[in-house]
Amino acid sequence: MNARTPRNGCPDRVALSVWADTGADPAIARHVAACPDCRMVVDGYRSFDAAVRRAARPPADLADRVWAACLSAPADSPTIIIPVWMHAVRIAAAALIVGAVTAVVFVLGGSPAARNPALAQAETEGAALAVGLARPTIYIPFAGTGGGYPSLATEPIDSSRLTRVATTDPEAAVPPLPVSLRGSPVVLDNFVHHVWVVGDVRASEHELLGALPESATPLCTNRTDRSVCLKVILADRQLQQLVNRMQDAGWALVSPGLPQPGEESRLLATGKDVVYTVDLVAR
Amino acid sequence: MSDTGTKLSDAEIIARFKDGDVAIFQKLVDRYAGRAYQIAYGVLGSREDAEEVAQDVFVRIFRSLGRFRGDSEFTTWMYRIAMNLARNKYRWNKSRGARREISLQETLSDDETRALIQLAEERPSPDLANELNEFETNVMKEIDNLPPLYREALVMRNIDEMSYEQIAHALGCKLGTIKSRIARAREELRKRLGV
Ligand SMILES: [Zn+2]
Repeated sequence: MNARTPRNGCPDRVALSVWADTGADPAIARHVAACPDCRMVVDGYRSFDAAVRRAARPPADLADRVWAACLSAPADSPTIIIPVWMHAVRIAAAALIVGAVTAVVFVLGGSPAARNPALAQAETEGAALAVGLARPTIYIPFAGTGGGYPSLATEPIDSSRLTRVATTDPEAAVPPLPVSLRGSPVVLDNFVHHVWVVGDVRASEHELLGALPESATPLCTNRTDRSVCLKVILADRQLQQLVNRMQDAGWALVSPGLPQPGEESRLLATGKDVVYTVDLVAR
Repeated sequence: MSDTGTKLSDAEIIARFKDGDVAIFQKLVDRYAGRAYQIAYGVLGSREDAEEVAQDVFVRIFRSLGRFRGDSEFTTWMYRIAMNLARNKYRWNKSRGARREISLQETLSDDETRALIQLAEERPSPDLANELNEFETNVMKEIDNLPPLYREALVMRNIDEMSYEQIAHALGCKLGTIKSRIARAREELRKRLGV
């Protein structure tokens, strides 16, 4: 290819190409104006550019679909803010409740890590697990992080597993945390994932949609006969009110993460937005 | 939930996101999803793949923006993610087509790219062919046949407001390399199209 110095007196093709884009060099401008060969070359470049621009034009509704994809992506294991003094206490708590892990793993059945990336990750990191069922709240200390809660699932929910969880007496499975472990109010993470066990999934979904503020635009990311997954952005206070209403409707919250129904005092509400992922699973 | 009336800078949007205004992220999507798409299109030459990459880019940014330290411009960061994901997808597509196992963790060198060009199958015509005139269709067909390093530079140049400096930054190349690649891409097209 002769990208350089194609003819005596003509600029090389790299210079011509740069000039076609920038128009920065007056000497090249004068030359192109006077040289039909170079003008033809530059015209060719510009016609390619126009074709590329047209072909690479994004679809008009691309941004809507990209935003929907952001909202429907599986949530990471959310983290919470834990005061420094609690780190030492968490270690003690992990030892205290590590026995409960066996029970919880049994409750979840089979090999939960194989089906649940969050649990698998926690296991491979050698983290001590403790899971809370409805109330009381149980902390999950993750190795090497500032602490966190598990998300019970990042995949479509296996309702049989949850049914078994829901029918297990939480008080018997896991002892309540000492009050000293509850800590001061925390700010919610940007992502909250809750699994609720409900009677009728369709009716509950309808009820949930009716309870959302008008400004909220929920997105359904998964629907099966016995479960539905919705995502919606809510302010932290709105979310607390919503989970209170869900509890009042007689649904059972399986996930330990804040906000918990009736536990406003544990939430440091700042008005921030939270992406709330809610799985409704048939009892 | 979010203020939609004012024109905020990228840095202001990111600051508000970090303060908990998650919904404001949509402004970044509105602003830049098209750019991510165009970058991916430049590498992949497929609208479907480009959209998939654009979604992946923003899902990843959405998840990690809270940890973005702002050492570089948001756009530079976004271009790099888009380019890396698009190249990974390109390599994945090709390795699948050629039944060759290549780790997705590897970075793509120029030599590897050349080797992959040899392996590349005939790319199907762009699916928007019936929207374009004959000349545009021919240009796109030949652009699809260009070596990816030339194609991506040329396509990035044609994305609004991407200067040579920005392209060099996004591709991690010297300015002169970018000028040369774009010129070579154009010369190659001229030769193939007889313009
Ligand atoms: Zn000339």
